[in-house]
Amino acid sequence: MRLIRLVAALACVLLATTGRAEPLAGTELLRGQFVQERHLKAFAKPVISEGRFVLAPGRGLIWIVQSPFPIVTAVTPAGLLQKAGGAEALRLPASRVPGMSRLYQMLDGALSGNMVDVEGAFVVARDGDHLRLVPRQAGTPGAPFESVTIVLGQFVESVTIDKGNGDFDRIRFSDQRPCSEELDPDESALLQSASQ
Amino acid sequence: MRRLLAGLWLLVMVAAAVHVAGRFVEGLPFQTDLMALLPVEDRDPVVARAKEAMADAVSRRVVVLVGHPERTVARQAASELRASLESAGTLAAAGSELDPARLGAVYFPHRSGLLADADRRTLQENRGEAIVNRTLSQVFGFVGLADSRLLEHDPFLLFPEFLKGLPGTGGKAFLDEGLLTIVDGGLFWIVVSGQLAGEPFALQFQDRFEKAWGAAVSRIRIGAPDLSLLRMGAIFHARAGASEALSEASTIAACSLAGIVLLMLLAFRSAMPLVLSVVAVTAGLLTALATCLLAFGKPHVSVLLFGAGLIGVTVDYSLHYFTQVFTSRSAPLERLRHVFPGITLGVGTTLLGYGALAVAPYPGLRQVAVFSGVGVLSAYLTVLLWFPLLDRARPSRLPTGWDRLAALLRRVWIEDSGRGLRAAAAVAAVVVVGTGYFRLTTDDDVRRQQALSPHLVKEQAEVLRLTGVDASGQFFLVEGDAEQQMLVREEALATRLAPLVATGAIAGWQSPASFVPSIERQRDNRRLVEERLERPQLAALCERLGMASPAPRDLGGFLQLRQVREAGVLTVLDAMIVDSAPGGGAHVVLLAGMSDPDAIRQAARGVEGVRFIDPTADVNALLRQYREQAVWLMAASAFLMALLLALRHGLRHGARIMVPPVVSIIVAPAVLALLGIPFTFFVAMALVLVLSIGVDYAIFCAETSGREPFTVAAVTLASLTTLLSFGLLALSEVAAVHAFGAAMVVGIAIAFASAPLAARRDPTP
Repeated sequence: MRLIRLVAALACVLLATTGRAEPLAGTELLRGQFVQERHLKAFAKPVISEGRFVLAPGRGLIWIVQSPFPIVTAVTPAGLLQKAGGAEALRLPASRVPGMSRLYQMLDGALSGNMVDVEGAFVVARDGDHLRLVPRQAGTPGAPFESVTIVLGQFVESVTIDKGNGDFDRIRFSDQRPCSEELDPDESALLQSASQ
Repeated sequence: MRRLLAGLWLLVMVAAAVHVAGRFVEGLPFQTDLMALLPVEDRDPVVARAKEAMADAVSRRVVVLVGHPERTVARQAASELRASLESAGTLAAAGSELDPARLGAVYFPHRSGLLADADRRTLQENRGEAIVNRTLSQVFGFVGLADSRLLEHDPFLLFPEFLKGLPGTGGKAFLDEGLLTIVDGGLFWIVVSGQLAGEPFALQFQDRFEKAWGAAVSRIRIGAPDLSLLRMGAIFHARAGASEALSEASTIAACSLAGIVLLMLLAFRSAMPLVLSVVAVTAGLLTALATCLLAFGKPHVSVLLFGAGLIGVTVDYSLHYFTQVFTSRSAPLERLRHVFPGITLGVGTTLLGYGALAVAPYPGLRQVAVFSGVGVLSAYLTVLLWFPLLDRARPSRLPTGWDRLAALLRRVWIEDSGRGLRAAAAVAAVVVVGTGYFRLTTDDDVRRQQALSPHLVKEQAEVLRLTGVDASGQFFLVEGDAEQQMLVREEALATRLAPLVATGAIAGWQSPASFVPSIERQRDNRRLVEERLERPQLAALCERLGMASPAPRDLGGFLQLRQVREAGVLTVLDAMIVDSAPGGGAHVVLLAGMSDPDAIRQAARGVEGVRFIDPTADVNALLRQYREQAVWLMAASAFLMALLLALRHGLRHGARIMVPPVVSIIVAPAVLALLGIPFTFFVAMALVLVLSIGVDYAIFCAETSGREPFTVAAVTLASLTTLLSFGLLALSEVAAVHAFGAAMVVGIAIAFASAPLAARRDPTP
C-alpha cells in the first residue's frame, strides 16, 4: 500500500520533467515549489501541504513539505527516507521494493528524452496541453491509480492523480527553475542517508 | 532322537517363516525413527510429537529459488514452475498466506486489541506524539497511505503497522506483487516454496515428483535458458540418497555374494558346503527376525542392517564344519564330533557377548543383542541338528596351499623361530596404538554420518544465505493447561527474545502469539491506545487533519486463534500448533536465522512451560551415549568370554585365547585413526562384531592346536567371507557405512592374522 503512494508520487516527478522540450543536462538541478491538495472522502476539506523540491538527475529527489508540518523525503536509486518532525518515519531500501528501481529506470529514461519505458507501463494520450496516462495493467496491485492527468506549460503545471475510490491528489508546481549550481551540503547529506 | 530333534527344529523354522511372512504382508514392520532408540525414560510424548510434527513439516518443505536478471522473466518462470508442480499433484496448492487483503479482512474487525510491537513499546513509554507524527507524515508526506476509509476507522493508522509487523516467512524475502522476492547480486530471485503433497521418503512419490520437476524445469528453461535454480528440501536429498543407496546396496550385495559363492566353490570344489551354509545362515536370520518381531513389535530398521552383518558370524560354524571334508573323516557325525567343542565354545562366548549388550537400558542395543544372539544360536543348532542328516559331501584333499599357509602362521605365532617376528609384531602394535590413540578423535554428529550430495548441499547453503531462514531444526516447545496460558507464555518468551534480535543472535521468530496475541495482551493494548493515544491526542489530530471526529471506536471481539485458523489465511499456524486438547496443549515457536543457539537457550531459561528443543543435538547425544555404552559393554563381554574360556582351558590358556580378539579391538581404532577415520558409534558397533567373530577364530585354533591345516583353512575362509561382505561396505559414500566397513576390515584382518596365537603350545618343541 505504501508502494501505491510512492509510485504515484514518483510518477509525477517523472512527468514533471517530461514536459520540457529539452531534457535536463547532467549537471543541472531543477528546483521549484509545490502545493499538494489531497482530496479524501472522509474529510470536509482537502488536506493541503506546501513546500519545495529539488531534483538532481541521476542522484535523487528531495521533497520538502514546509506547511503545515515539516516532512522531508529523499528518494535515490538505492532507497527512500522520510523524516517527520526531524525523526525518521519511514525507510525503504530499493532492494526490498523492486518497483522503485523500475520507476527509476523510467525516470532516467524520461530525463534523457527516452519515453520507451514510460510508454511500456502507461497508455499515453495527448490532448493539447493535457497529457493523460492510464496504467496498462489496471486493477493489478501494482497499479496505484486509475489515471494521471498532467497539464503542461513550460514545465509541468499540475498533476492530478485519480485513485478511483473518490480520493484524488492534485499537485500544482510553481517557480520551477533549472540551475547549474551544486546541491548544498544538507541536501547531499540527505541523499547520502537515503541511499544507505 | 536326533531325527526327532531335527524335525522339531524344522517345525520351529516353519513357524518362524510363517510369522515373518505374515508380518511383512501387513506392511514393513520396522521403526525408522532414530528417537525410538532413546532409553524409554528419556522420552517425553509431547516432545516426541512436537519433534515428529516439525520433522514432518521440514521434510515436506520444498524451497526453490528462481533467479534471473530480468524481474519479469524470473516471475514468469517461478509462477509456471509452481503451477506445473501443483497441477502434477506434487506440491500442495499454495495457501492464501500471501494474500494481504484476505489476511486484513480476517483481522480488521478485531483491530482494537492489535498493536505492532514497536507501537506498543512507544505507548508504554508514553510517547503517543511519535505515533501522531507518523500519522501526519502519512497524510501530508510524499509517501503515505492516507486512504480516507482507513482513516475513518483507524485514525492513527495502527492497523497497517500491526499487519506490517507480523513475522514474515523469516529472512530477507519480501512480498513484491504477490511473489516473495529477493534482490541479490543483480538477480531477482523469486521464492517458490510449499509443502509436498506426498511423503518425501516414499519411492513412488519420489518418482512422481522427479517426473513433474524435470518436465517443469525443461519447460521454463525453454523461454529462459539462463535461468538459475536453487533447490532446498528433503525430497531432493531423498531422491539423490535413494538412488545412490539403492545402487550402492545392490552393487555391494551382488559383489559380496558372488565373491562368497566363488570362494566356497573354489575351496570345496563341491556345491554341498555352499548350499548347507546358506541353509544355516538363512535359518539364523529367519529365527532372529521372527524373535525380534515377536519381542519388540516394531524393531528398529538399523537392527536389520546390523543383522546383515550377522551372516559373517553364522557362516563361520558351517565353514568350520565343512573343512572337516579335508580330513579322513567321512561320516557326518564324526565330523560334527570333531568340531563340536570349538563351535559350542564359540557360540557360548558370542552369546555371552551379546548378553552384555542386552542388559544395557538402550532399546537399540537390546534389539541388536536379541537379534544376534538368537541368530547365532539357531545357526549353531542348524549345524548341530541338520548337517549330520543332510551332509553328503565326500572327503577330499586339502589343496597344498593351505599346508603352506598353516605352516607359515604356525612358524610366526607358535614356534620358537618366530619369536623375533612376534616381538616385532608386538612392537608394531604398540607403536600403532600409541600414535593412533594420540590422534584418535570421536565424532557423534549425525549430520556427518549421512550421505548428502555435495552440490545439493551447496545449493541449500545458497538458499539459506539468500533467504536468511534457518534450517537447524531447533525450536521452542511451549506447553500449558489452556490456549490462553500458552499464548501468555509465548509473549513472555518474546520479551526475552526481542533483545537478541538487536544483538544478531537470532533474526526472528514465529509463535502463535505473534499472530494472535493473548486476550490479556489484547485487553492491555486497548487500554494503552485509549489512555495514551485517543484521550490525549485524537481531538487534536482530527483538527490538524481537518477531519470530523470519528465515532467512538467499535471495539469488536477479541481475536482468537480459532478464527484465524478457520479462515485458512495463515497455514503457518498449523505447523506451530502441535496439540490443542482442551485440558492442555503444546505450541511450537519457530526460530529464524539463529547464530547463537546458546544465547537463545539461555534467554528462555526460567520462562515457565517453555523448553528449547534441539533434535539434532538430541540425536548426537544419543549416538554418544550409545558409543560410550558399546565400549563399556564390549569390555564386560570380553571379561565374561575370558571367564568361560578359563573354565575350559585354564586361566593361562584361556587368557591367551582372548589375546587375538582383544588385540584386534584395541588396535583397529588406532589404525582407523591413522587413516583419518574418527571413532563413532558405528565403529563401536563394528568392534562388537569383531570381538565375537575374532574370539571364534581364536577358539577354533585353540581347539585344534592350530596345527591342522584344515583349521587354518576354516579360519581363512571364514575371514575371507567376512572381509568380502564387510570390506565392500568400506567403499560406501555414506560416512557411517564407510567407517563401519573399514573397522570390520581392519579388525577382522588382525583377528585372522593373530588367531593362531591362541593355539595350545605343545610341550614338545
